[in-house]
Amino acid sequence: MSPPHRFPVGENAVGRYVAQRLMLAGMTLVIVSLIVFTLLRVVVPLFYADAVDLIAGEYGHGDPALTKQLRHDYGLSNSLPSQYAGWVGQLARGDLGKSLFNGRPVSLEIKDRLPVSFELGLIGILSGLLLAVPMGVVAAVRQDRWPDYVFRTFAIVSHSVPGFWLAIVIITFGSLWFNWAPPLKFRYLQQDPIAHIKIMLLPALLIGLTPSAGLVRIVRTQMLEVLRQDYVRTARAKGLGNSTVIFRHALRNALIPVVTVIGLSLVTLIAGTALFESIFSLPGMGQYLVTSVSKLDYPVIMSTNIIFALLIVASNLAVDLSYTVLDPRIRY
Amino acid sequence: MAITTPANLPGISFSRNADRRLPQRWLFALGGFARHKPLGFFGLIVVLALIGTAIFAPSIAPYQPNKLDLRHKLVVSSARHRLGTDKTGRDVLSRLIYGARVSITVGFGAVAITTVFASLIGMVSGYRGGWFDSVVQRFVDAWQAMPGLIILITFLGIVRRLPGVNLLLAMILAIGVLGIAGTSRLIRSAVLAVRSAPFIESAHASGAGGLRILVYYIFPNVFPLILVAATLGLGGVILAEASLSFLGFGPAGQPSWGQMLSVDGREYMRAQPGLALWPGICIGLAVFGFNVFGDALRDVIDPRLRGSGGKRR
Repeated sequence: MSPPHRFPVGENAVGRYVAQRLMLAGMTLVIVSLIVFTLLRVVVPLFYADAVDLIAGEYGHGDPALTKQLRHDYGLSNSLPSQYAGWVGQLARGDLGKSLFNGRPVSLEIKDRLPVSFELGLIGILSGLLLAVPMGVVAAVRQDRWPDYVFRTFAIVSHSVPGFWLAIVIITFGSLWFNWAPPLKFRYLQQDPIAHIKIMLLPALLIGLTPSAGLVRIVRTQMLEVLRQDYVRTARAKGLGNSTVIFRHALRNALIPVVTVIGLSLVTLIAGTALFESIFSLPGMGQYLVTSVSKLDYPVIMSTNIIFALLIVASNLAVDLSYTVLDPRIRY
Repeated sequence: MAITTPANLPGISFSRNADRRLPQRWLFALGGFARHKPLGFFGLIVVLALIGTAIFAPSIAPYQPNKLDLRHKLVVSSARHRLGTDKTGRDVLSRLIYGARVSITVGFGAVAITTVFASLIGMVSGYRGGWFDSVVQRFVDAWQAMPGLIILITFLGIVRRLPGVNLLLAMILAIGVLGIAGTSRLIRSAVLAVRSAPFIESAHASGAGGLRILVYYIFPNVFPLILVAATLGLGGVILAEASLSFLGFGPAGQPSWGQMLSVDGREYMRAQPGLALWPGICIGLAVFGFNVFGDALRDVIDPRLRGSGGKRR
């Protein structure tokens, strides 16, 4: 598996590389913003007068003064390009808008919700790694023997079984057999640490399961590849112990491409938050998007999409740049 | 990349199999596939069973999927309802059988869109190269970095409020379009591998144009890979459809596996655990079938690709 991008060489290559990645990040953001904007301001008006009209129809034609106010607030009478420019300008000033339903600023809401999703994702990826790396290493070292088969089966099965379904099964049979149910009321860490852990642990562990499938595979193939390298043979030849060779020499090099897979898994994880937060009713970003989409709270829809895109773009950037730290052979 | 035809697939070729007549040749290849890749063959059987279930759902299902039977609500299992009934007495088995239709329709529909456009973009971009390739690939980069499920939730959540929109079609379209970038990258890399092959050069020399080379020389060589990508993609699409339906963004009226697991059935799962169990097993089995079949297909077609993962999104 080669690194995902060609690394430029030559004078001031680091700068050029960073600039290239930043441009890519910007492009992704522009595409996401254009899709969401087109949906709400171009596609919706094909069916209704505009987005405000759709909401008015949804909730019974309310106050005409209010709808007029809303139209004015969202600049719906302006031309499309100037509407888009206005929105981007707002975003650039850090103004994420207000909810149509409770008037709460989106930025405040996100300040509460982002840490919940972030915690979920972080514990998820850590538990996924803790599960996958030992499995992958053992599978490679014991290639074509039973540990290999067991862990490869695990990888295939957890790649196929939807994580959200496992959560439902655990909740259903937990309550049926052990009279256990996940806590209904959410507690923040600073409110009640123990209750918080009780709530977060199961979803966080389950969310890491799906990405771990890919991780087991990549750790295994990388280990197999690295174990055949000359320097591993040299290490063995100079009399180093088996565990030293595996952990000191092989694993550290095998883990470099794993970073790429972690980067790819982040997308799965972020998508997973939408599913797991709605199963366990956690007040995170995914749940925010799902509820605001079903209420057609479109300032929230627009802003949360941008935040999600920003998160993914930032984590991809971090993954790309971490290559230099992890693998000194890669020079710009 | 070596030219692969069904008759000389590595691992499943037989001596003088090429001499046999066509139907026999395929049968022998299939037998070899079953012997060398038992798991993949199992996947193939699951896939075929799934397609059969979807096509013949009306004749297999014991009941109409939406037929209410209020006197037999939340039955766990009985002679009349093997897998029980849900909160309004609808037969779970029949709903599972009809659910295969949604999965298969969305799966094949979305993958068809993905495959056609990804092949076009990947082949042209890889073959043309130069600035055209660079521009297209930067766009593909940005496209690939999009938060898939988030965009899908947003798109379907808004679109389902619009009158007269076919939600199933919208879902197929959206999932299909989002998958294009990743698959086109895969196909492009395969094109790059054959582009400088001597037989392409000789075609050039004998005066074949770009379009002719693409269609008659490059396409047959990347076709096996396209097939593998499509098979592996199907599993991912079925998973995505289930997730979306589970969140309530799927088409209403038609039973689907994800929808059967969704919130409104949740409170009845304690009374009828089958409601939680069976739909998930169906999703898992379907995705598993496509994944292991695709993996085996990939190993047979090009062993070098082993372990490079078939993950989408």
